[in-house]
Amino acid sequence: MRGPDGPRAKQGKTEEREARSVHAEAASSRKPTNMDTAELDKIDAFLEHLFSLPDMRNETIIGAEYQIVNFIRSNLARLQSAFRGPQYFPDLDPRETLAMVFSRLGKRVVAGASPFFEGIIRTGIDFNILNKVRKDRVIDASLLREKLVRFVGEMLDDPVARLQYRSVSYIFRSNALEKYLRAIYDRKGCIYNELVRMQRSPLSPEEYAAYFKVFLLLKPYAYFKTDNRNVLSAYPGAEEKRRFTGACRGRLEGRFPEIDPVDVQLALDANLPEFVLEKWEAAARLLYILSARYAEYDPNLRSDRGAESPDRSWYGVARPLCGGFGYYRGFLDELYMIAADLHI
Amino acid sequence: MSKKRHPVVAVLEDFVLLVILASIVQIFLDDLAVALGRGRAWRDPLLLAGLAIDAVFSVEFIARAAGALAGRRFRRYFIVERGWVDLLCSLPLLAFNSGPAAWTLLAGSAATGGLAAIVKSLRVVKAVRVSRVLRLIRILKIFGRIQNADSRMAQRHVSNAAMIGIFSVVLVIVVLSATGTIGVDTLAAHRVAACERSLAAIGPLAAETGSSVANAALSVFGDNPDVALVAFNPSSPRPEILVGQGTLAALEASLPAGSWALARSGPLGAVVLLGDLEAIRARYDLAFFAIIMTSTILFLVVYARTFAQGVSDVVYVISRGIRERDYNLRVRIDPDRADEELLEFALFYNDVFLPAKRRRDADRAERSRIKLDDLAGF
Repeated sequence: MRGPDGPRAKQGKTEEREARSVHAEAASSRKPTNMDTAELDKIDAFLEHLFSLPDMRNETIIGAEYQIVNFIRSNLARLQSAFRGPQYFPDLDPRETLAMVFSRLGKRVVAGASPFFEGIIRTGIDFNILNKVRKDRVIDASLLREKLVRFVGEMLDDPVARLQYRSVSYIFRSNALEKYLRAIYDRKGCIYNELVRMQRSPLSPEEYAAYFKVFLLLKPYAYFKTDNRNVLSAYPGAEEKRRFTGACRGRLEGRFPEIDPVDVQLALDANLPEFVLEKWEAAARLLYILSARYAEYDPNLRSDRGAESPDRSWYGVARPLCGGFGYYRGFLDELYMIAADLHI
Repeated sequence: MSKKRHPVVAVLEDFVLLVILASIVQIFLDDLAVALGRGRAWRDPLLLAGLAIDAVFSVEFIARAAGALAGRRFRRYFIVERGWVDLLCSLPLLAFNSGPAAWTLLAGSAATGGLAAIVKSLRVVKAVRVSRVLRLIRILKIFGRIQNADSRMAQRHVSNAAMIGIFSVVLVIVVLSATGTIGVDTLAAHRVAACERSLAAIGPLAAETGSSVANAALSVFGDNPDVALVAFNPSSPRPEILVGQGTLAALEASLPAGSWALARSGPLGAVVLLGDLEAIRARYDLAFFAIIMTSTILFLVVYARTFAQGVSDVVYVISRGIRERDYNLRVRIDPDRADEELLEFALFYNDVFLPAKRRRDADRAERSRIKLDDLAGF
């Protein structure tokens, strides 16, 4: 299954297509509409109802948006017909209603997600770690913080890039980096060797967690659509993807000259399957797997009697698929064992 | 997997479970009170509680049987749903154990002499008392709720296994008790018979020695700790006391039922104390109680866990994984049991089915956990 257009690439394309389509709907809503305040209130009430469903309570706000968008897409015809009903929006074109739903949804999600990520950037990351890793650079942490807050804000405004922050939000909220890195350091196995010896980043687990958080915040840049350029999922082949992230790297380095190009490369390459990565890029390999795992994360799913835990199950199922999906087998094997130790 | 119960049915079933628990406590306390030689102040309320419990079980059995008959599923109720256990634990106990005992207590022994004779003549009486342990079988219902509440298969399988284990013990106890191999009924009968022989010897002894009947009675029973009272016509309103103090009525009021018997020979009668033998019997019953409770708990905890790990939980996870698109948890397999057929199948599910499912789902559009029904309240 190893190839340029593996299953994971197809999955990414589907997600991007859907998000882009939503984006188009929302964009159309920027045209003047004749919606009055009462109708907007109804839309907000509709969204509020969806956000307050029991299944949504454990979701991050981006996760909830993902569920709502998928719900609307898969029930489009029935919802359009329902929206024509007298109690909803009988005087509006259902497409216009839906566009407004997506627009209000997007605004609500951005308003909810921005403080979460801003909090992580302002208080959850010690940026001095970048100084420690690349000693030849002096980083102004407060300046970098402000730039990152603005950068993430821009990313969240873009529906496709925002979708990429879904798995990131799960990783941050569940403290997955801290848990896994501590276990990786305790085991001193394959992942530890690759991170510390091969990649030559001799950091403590806490420092690595901060280091990875910076990568995870930068990683979605490959999905950020600017100046009519394509995004990563538009390129089916792994080599094309690699060339594309190379191009993104230049632009991102321009935005963040204080971050070492190697770190920018690692952040963007965390979007790529392991077989196109350079041998030393252990961080990118690990973050690629973690992102994929948390892209399928269900916050409502609990360990079931007689079943392996959700994380362990995911890594266990991914092991035979590692070639096609671009996961590094050695890392998966160790993560499978770590998930058992951590009962997650 | 589990059907939702009607609220009224749920309340009634929970009530029955409480009564089952109460019956276990009652059996234990009843035997303990006898073993410790407690008097009527302790034992009479326990006896009445036993009657109430048997009455509840009897009403429950009749209601269930009637419901099953009306629904034309009596065979299923009686065999598959173990209605026969409900029957064994209810009406026979009410008729032959707690019923007569309570009748004796409430109406006095004189009024129940006929009934006691009938019951005794049935020859079941020796087995009846010990057959109260049959009630313990019903604790399976309680553990059935606790262990793997969602798995009918686990409930039935473990209950059946436990039933076989418990019932074999109960059957042996009942048979041994009915044949007099264990128990103290034979000893009690010997004691009463010996007392009747002694009573018969009082007249000839008085005639031979020229002493009064009272003196002869005193010389025969004076040092006998098992005889509380010897009298002419002891059941009459004004008996002539030969040995001991008080009246039969007074003794009857102070001694618990079963802890004494009346031996008779002509006009002479004697109250024979059987409390020590009853205490031995109660210790037997407590031992049976401990055996049955221990085996039941071990079955329902240890065996149920083994069964769940090797069978029902495995089937549950595989079943959900096959039926539900978003359920992708692997079966947890104990390496020590990986050579079992079902776990080999689970291994196939883990290593072949789930990866194929994920590969297939990678090409399919993502689904939402929100359903159209969720809009009902909007």
